[in-house]
Amino acid sequence: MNRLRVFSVPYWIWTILLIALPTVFLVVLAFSDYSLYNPGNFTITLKNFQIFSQPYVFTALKNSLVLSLITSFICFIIGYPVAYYLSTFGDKTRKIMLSLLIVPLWANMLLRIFAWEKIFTPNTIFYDIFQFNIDLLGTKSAVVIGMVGMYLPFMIFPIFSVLEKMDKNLIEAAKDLGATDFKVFLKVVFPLSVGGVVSGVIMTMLPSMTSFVLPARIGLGRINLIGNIIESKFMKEVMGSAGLSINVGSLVSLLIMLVSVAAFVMITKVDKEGETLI
Amino acid sequence: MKKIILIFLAIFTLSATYGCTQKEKLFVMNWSDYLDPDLIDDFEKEFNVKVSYKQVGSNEEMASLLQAGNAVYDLAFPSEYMVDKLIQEELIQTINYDLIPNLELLSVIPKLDDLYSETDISGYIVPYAWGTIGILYRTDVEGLEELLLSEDWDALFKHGETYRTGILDSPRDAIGAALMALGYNVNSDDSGELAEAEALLINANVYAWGEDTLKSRVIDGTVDMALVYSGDYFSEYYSAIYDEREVNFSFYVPETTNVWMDSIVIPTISANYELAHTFINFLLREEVALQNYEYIGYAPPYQTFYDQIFTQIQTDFGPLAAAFDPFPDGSSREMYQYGSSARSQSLIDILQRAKAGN
Amino acid sequence: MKTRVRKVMFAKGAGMILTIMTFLLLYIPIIIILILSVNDSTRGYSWEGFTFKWYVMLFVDDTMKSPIVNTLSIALLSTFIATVLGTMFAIGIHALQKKHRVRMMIMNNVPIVNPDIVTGISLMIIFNLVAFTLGFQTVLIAHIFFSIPYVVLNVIPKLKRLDPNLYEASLDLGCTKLGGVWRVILPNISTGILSGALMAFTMSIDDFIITYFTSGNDYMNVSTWLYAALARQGRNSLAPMAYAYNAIIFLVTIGIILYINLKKERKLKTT
Repeated sequence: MNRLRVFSVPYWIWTILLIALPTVFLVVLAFSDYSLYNPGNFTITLKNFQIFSQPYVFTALKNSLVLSLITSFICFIIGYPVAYYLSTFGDKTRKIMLSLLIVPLWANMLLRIFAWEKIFTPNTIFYDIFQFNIDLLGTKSAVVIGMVGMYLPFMIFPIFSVLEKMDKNLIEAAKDLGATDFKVFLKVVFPLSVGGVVSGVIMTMLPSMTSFVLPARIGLGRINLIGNIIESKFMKEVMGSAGLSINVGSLVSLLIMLVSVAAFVMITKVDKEGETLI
Repeated sequence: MKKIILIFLAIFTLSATYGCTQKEKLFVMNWSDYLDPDLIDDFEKEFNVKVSYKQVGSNEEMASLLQAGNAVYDLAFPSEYMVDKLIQEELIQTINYDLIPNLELLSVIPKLDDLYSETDISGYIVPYAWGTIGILYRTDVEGLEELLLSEDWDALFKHGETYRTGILDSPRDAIGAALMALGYNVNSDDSGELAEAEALLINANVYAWGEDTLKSRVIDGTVDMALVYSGDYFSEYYSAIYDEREVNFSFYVPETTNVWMDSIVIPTISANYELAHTFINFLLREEVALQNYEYIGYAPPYQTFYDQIFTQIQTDFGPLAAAFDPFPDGSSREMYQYGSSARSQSLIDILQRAKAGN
Repeated sequence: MKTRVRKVMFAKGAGMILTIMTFLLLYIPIIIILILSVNDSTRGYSWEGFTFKWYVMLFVDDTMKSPIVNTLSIALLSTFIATVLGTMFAIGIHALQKKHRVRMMIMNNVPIVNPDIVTGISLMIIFNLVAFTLGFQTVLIAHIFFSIPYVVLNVIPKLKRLDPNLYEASLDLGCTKLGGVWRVILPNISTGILSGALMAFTMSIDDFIITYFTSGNDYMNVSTWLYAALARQGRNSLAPMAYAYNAIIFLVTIGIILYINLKKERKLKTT
């Protein structure tokens, strides 16, 4: 098998080109006034950090953190029991249930967001079908609910996968040793499933923290997350800022990237196999 | 196993060769819903070319894409203030009017011509549409109509607690409207005046910010009134008729408001200079133009087209047709200018702060 | 004893309620999309009557044809390429020493962990710097880029469970290096390859953010087309065709899933 090592060389090159190199450029852009669209002379500067002094960036960061934390928490509260409940079923039902959980993810994300808008707007088609109104459009609650609706499966799957692999004998043994059901859960099941929980939390927190379409539409433009700021810097403010918005945007993106990688390193510490991400 | 691979290879080769046409290609960048798609099909058939139509939501986005310079665009439809900047940045090129014979037959409406004859943009543009910004509002909301008639701009900015309001997520328009509400010039660069405008926006308690989504929000009841572009009202009206919905909304044009003009320009990066001109010429053909202006709902800048469309509007809208005329006699209109880069940046920041300050 | 039974029932009841809630959360938007797809209205503000015209239009009208073809072709192409490359890379990584393997796995997982928006922007930046014109090729590269890690992630566990002696044995018996791979390794990891391919396809077919940043002037997949169409719903908006498209995809996927589950069951019964 060792002779097949050579297969990995092209991948090494690939990842350097498409992961390492762009990151280097992000750093260059973030710490200078290098113009991406008019390459030329540039100076290293910390000017781009000024963006963090703007209160609206601070608000966006705060919103991103808080809302994604709440979303993850709700996903956990709902997701863990559901994963547990599903793991008690027989093999066949289990597979069908899981598949049914995946299917909505195949529906186009934008259309689902659009459907959520309809749900939160009073007197629209939602009312015609269900005969009651939810008037939440533009509120943070609506954004959280929308995000939970989008990312809940990502919490359920890792936890389920860990619970499924769990050795039932351990539970039996604990019961034989006289533990109550609750104690069995607390001292045996839950600790063994922590890897899945951490994975689930990260898989729900990161996307919700950085989403931009959902808060833009459900939040009616009032609730701006860090993703909206980045999008605006790269796509809308280029002309007005003489190209510098790209540098500022790169700095913010770099920050997000650091947070994500840090979270990922945390997973690897908790789960040695490197398998929980599936 | 082998069968699957064969199927994959077949799909692979099929999709790799798909889209390889020999026809000439024209890349157009325009606002969403600002050109009748049937006309694009007609153009493609008549001239045997392929048109690629990219839609954007704002001038800023249009400009960002042009500045990026990594994709070919043969035609774009920016607003007047952006044309100014694009010329400065050398992102658009002069137009060869000899290649647009249909333009000779048309004359621009005098009032509009006066507004723009002073500027340097004339060699680079073919006027496309003009209009104003105003307030689209629901007629079935108690007291709203009276409020607008009595308070003008203040209705939008000072009653955020009672009514749900929407404002365009565009630095020019949002801050321009605020400046006009305060009685200042729309191009003011005075830091005091801008600060007042920012305060006005923050205190307005805006319910929704959006680019093109605002008009739908008024219709579906999310907001009671919103700052929109003039043509939005007319196209929403026609859409309601088409869908057989009740028309429970109307359009208020404030005493002093902005008049804007969108023009067709040819970016420097264009790969097909002549075909671009052919397209412009096509759009100025009488039957084509009339069909187009009917679709988009905005006022044509050319006298003959304007008169014909206006007659149609009068039949359909009666007294409300007055709102179609962007620049009635005796009204007060202001036009945006680009200003300095510093001002642009401060407008962006002001809007971001206003959105966050709610 | 009684309290124990009651506790179990309570736990099961709670589990059932939350599961129902989960399904509601996930499926109500889908139901709305399905209903909008048969709604006789261009904007979908309210129910205007039942119609199949949007489904008909989907096949007759050209507007969505291009985005749909683009989406499907990129998904199929990128999945195929990513699966082949990913499997190859996974085999290579698996053969490395532990230290190098861990390093590669970290690199491998970066695109998965990185938020879409950061990936999209990094790719956009690098494409710009290499003076690539944004379009079909850049979108393809981007999709392959984010798909490969999923394939690797699905194949590696299967490789771990594979007995290394099998490969060595095949070589001893006269297989070439590659022949051994083809005949021994691949068949044993086929489920991993398939699930990796499935994941890659799912990621690609619905992708919005990364395509948004790497597509440039011409290329539109269904998601970016929808983004533009929904942002400004004009007169005679054709966006409802997207609901019909989605409804079809949804029904097809449910059909496939049910078929797979029922087929497996039959297989198990006959063995």
